[in-house]
Amino acid sequence: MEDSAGNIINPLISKGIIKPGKISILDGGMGTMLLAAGMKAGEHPEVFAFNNPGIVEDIHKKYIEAGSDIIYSCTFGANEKKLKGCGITTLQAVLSAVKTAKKAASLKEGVKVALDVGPIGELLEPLGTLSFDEAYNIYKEVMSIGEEAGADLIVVETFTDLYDAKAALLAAKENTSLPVVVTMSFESGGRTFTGTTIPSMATVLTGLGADAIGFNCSLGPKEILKFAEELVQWTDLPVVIKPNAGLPDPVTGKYNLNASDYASDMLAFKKFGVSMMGGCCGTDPEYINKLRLSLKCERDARNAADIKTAGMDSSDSDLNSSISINDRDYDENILENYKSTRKIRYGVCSSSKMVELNKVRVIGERLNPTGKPRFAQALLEHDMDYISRMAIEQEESGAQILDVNVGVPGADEPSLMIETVKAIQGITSLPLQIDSSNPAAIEAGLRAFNGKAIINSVNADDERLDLILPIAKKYGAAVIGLSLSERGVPQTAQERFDNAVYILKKAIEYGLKKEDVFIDCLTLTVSAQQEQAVQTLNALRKVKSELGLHCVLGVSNISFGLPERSHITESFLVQAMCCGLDLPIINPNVSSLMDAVYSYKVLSGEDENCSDYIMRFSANKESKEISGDIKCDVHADMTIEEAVLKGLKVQTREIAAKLLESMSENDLINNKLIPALDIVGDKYEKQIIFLPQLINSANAACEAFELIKERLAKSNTQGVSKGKIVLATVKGDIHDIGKNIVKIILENYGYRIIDLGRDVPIENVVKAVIEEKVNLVGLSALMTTTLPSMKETIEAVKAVSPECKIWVGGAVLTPDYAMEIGADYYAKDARASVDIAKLSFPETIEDNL
Amino acid sequence: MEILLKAEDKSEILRFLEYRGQEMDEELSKQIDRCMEIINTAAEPAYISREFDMKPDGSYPDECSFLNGNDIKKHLLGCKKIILMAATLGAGVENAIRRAQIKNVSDAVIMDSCASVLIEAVCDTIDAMFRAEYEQQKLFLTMRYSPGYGDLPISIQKDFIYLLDTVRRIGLNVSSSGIMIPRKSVTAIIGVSETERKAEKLGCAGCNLIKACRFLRRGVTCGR
Repeated sequence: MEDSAGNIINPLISKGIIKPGKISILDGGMGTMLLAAGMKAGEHPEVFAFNNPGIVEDIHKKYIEAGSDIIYSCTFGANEKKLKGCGITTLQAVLSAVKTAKKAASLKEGVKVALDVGPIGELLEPLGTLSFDEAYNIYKEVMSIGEEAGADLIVVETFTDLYDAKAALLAAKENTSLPVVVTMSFESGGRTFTGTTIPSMATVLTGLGADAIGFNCSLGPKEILKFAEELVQWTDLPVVIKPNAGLPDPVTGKYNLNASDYASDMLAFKKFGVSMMGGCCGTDPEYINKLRLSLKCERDARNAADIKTAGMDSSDSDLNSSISINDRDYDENILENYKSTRKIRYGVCSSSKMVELNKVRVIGERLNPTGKPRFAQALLEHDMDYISRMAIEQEESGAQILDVNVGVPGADEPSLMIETVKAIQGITSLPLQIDSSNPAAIEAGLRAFNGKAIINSVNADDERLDLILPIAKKYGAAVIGLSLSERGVPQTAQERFDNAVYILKKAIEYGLKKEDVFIDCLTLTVSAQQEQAVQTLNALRKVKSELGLHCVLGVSNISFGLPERSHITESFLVQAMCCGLDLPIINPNVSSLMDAVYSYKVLSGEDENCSDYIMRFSANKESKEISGDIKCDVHADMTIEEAVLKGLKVQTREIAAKLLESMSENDLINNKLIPALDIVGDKYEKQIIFLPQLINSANAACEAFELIKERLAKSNTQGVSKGKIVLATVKGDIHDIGKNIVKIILENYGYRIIDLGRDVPIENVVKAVIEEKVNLVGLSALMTTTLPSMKETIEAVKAVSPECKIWVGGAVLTPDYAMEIGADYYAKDARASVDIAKLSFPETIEDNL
Repeated sequence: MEILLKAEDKSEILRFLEYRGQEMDEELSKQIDRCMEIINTAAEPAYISREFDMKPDGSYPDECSFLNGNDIKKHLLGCKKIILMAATLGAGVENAIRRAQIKNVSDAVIMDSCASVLIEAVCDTIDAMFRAEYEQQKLFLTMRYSPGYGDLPISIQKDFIYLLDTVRRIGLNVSSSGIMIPRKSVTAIIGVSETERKAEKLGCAGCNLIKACRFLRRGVTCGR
């Protein structure tokens, strides 16, 4: 629905659930009311509500009498996971609870029923084991039933993980036509337990199309006030506040605010233009009544003042049709306040990190297989550890956004994009730029990403714009527009500018905000088309000054084909930044480029007090020390064996490089690295060294292996492998350090490890064994509770591949138990795993088994 | 809660790493210091506890009916009240260790041990606080007893954290297979008695890990 000016009207308003300029009153706590009405501690509220609809209806009625305009159905924990074993289904719980709420709501005209949806109660990946899709499906069920049952809106509340909230919000938007309110719970530091920040929450939920957002539970009104102040800077949506009755006493659990104090504290939220207010834990109908009265009192007092000063007439019968004016708090001043106090800040983000776009921000370009055979190989082998390491390396070099491109021939790009995005967001908090020509891969990446991403890219070609812009709108992503079209790369700045204007116009038509459109003015190779460098800079200047858009540019292409490329690249980068480039896409590991960015920011004034610059250069020495590399003087005559034994990564790599000048890769592995690792293993066995030393040696050897892999990938030679091994931490278990130690050590012995990760479903192990024709599988489990799933995995693998050998390890296993569950071998540690592998692959090196 | 690893915790961290007096160079020692520092920065210890009265006939309060097995019964014999507590280091530690596993597995292993020592230190601090408090009322506490000890199954974890509302209060969750997340978390039951409890030690005999203990394998114990 649109207003007369063509603006889209918030569905909460168009459906009459809230009214512009009026604070809608929500209800208060349900749990405490149920306990008082006879629910036992530990009993599920939804089960109690199902069995005692009359009691719940009474509670709803009390809230309506107290002044609630919107009541929440008793469905907070009504989902498949939470109701498991409770004797009622989600369908029964939701249908019954919404019916009860609607019955109560019929008491008074205008009262609306919200389907209350709480978190599933299990953590999502990467912290937990629940997948995004599983969560989505669970919410989808609840919400579809809720709409069917007649709820007027959906409230997603008390969430602490933005990813979880995203799953719920998408489930609501894709499967119902109801307006959706999302409120999250923050701790006193302004973050949730999983690290979600307020700017990220506001940006992501606004982008995904929530109709109102805010806070519930967490803390009391006083503590939440500062959160609201921050929130309104990052969103233009209606804001919801539903705090607890203060803070709980640590011993008694009783909340410290009485109804009057609570109600008067709540008034402070009016200055932020809050649209909906209610209470959470510890509040009851008395709190809601006091809240209504204090809002009304304050309103009356100001009305009186307004009348005295011949102020405006504040009654508006149109908007207040069914309810008598005396009964309402009504204030269109709020609208004015709300508009004037809200400055919308803007950026791209992950759930825990906001990168505000108010200065130059570096986009790291390294996660891209183009021209990087080793990276392409890692993608094809699903070697997410390698890719994750590239991500960490760029972050540590100063990248603030990471471009992710997984386009390798022969791969299923959408699923590879999901896998890569999930791996990267598990180990870095940087926002991502989803880079693909494949729309399905772009959508898959945006859906999997826990944050607000950038799409790379569209251009002025209608076909591409019509495909990608709706996806950008749906997921709230920013989009890069290349200033070219289906007719090719324009030769003049003006034509590039015209393309930028066209892209912007189309983006606005599709509902994107102007600030979500970034323009790329195209870098061409200066050695081939020298006149084009100036055109790029002129186009940049024009786009920045006349359109005010953010500008991205892949910089390094400029110097292609020239000697000492870095000089040209660096100089072009600086000139481009002067012309308005604020999102350079560069290799952050090239420190001269990063130095240029830091210097530019000092001169442009973006780096206040030169503090980042000073940090970078005065802390340089120190940061090298803490980078994790063990440094030590290299003696010219140090052997690779010594370097490995001492766990010296840099030296091992350097010596390996030297040895490879006169030695084949196979010889280096068989005659140098493996004997060195055998010595390390023996020393560990004899307890001359202990675990961290063993792994440090393995890490050092890894550096030599990485060098070998890079060389082989570059020369397009098949990799050396002594055999393929599948490793997995079994379904249900998330302890994977042990498995990872085994992995790194086996890799060093030349085996190719197919690492399926942790919490691995049985069918994934079976699939890998069949598809990769693997004859050796290692399974790990650390908990007694996950041993049954280890046994089931062994049975499933043996059923499809009886000749496949399986070894097991992990704290709770014993040799006897290993045999009992059908394993072929038991390994007490990583060293023992090597012996098992040697036994299974007795031959010497073969090429690429 | 501001509880940090201190220099004197290093020997305990080494014990978790199954260290038996091997020669240790300065670099490794620095590596451990660095990992302690990372864990200290990442950890946000939090806890929650609730006290319940035992029924006059000595049976468990209704809320705690999920407690089962002989060992916990024996442990709580003669207690008037019980305290259920849960503590966690928070998600930051989990994230830091996950990242370290990609960058440097040996850091991850050391950080994991650091975190194990820190969560024990957090529990010991809470424990000592309770002990001092109850002593003023002339009441005495048993040692902490956790799901997974003796015949008290880990599967009660779900009911345990539900009762304490740990998800909302301290961000402690349990996965469908009963694993607490963040992993560096502890749930425990403490009995409150009017008579002083003789010093108890769980000892290896009472431990369900006895057959597969990684400490015993290397000739040491975990010290409980």
